[in-house]
Amino acid sequence: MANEAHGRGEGAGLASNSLELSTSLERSVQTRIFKIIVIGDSNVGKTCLTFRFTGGSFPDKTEATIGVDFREKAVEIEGERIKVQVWDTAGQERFRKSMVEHYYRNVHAVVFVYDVTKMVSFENLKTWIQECNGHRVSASVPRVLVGNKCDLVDQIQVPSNMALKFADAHNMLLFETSAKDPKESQNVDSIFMCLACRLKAQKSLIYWNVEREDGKVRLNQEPDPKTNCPC
Amino acid sequence: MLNLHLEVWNDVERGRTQSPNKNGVLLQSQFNKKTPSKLHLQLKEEEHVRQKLAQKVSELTSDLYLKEAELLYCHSQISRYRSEALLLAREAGSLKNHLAEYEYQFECQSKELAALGLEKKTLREELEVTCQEKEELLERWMEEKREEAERINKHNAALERWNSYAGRLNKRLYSRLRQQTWPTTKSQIIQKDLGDQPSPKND
Repeated sequence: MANEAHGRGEGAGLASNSLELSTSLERSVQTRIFKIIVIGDSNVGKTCLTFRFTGGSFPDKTEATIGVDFREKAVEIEGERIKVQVWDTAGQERFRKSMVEHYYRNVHAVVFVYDVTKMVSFENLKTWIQECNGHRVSASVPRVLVGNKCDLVDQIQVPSNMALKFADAHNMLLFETSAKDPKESQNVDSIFMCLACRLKAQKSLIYWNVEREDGKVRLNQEPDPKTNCPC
Repeated sequence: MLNLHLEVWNDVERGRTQSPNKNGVLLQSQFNKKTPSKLHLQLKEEEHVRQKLAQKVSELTSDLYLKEAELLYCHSQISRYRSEALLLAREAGSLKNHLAEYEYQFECQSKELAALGLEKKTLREELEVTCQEKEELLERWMEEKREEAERINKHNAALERWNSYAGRLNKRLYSRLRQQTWPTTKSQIIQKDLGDQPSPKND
């Protein structure tokens, strides 16, 4: 009996130690980062779009991006704090040479941007998609299509239905927005939030929400009714 | 003159034949006395000369009037030309001054042009140097960005690995906890732990 009691006491001690260790491990888990790259022709508004999302405003003056600019925004999705790391890439060939491989390495999501007032920028999307595929970006990596500058209603050259067809053909979501128009800022946020939600759902399946039990797979998290995912 | 003489001679002959009166007799006698034909001829000659002179005087008078008018015209022209000449001289003086001024300006501007040319050359050289520097800076900036991108990629990968590892450790700890709480399932949990052990490649 005494041995048993001793054994139980030892077991309880071990359990409390394990709990502490587990708590410290949970604490040590860093905020996850989702790397999202924004690509498209020069002057389509990639910088303004990323600036609108991360800074919440439209920049007064922008210069051509050299290489890449990194922007980050911490968002909270379903109670988890996530860092959205936006890679604002250069549109001009001379400013992106020898950088391209870094863009696509371990990328979590891709945002293709075109200018709704420039048909050429829409036509060039094929080239951008080819480049993306050429760098072995997995098909599971979410991709979205963004038509920027939709506030210039009089100058629109790319009809929405054409863009929608293109997006459907390439299995992408389409967003038409304007980084300049403050009314559209929520729409801009929703592009990245939508991607973050999809990524969270994907990654949760991989790292967090899957628990094996006796060789069986069980999703241990019930869907939260108070979810704050904007999708 | 010969005609005049002939005329005078005929007049004398006519007088001799056609004047049977006293005067004719007298004239004849006078002619006879002082060679009247000669005098008559002289008279006629004198008259002719007088007429000629009178005509000449008249011509000369008209010429004189003409010349006086011409002279007046010439005077007026002279005065006009003089005033014009004065004006032109003044203008010439002014133009000369302007010319001198322009020459001075030209000289100044030539010097300025030479200076500007030199400055342009210097600026062009500086521009070339600046362009070169800009290219180098751009190259350095690109290199910096490349390194930064590589660093961030590495950091992202490390973070992802760490999170994955921490998650797995956590799961293992939970399993152990369960193992201690329900010892009956111990053997099964040990089997599970063995199965869950991270491969060295993943860690």
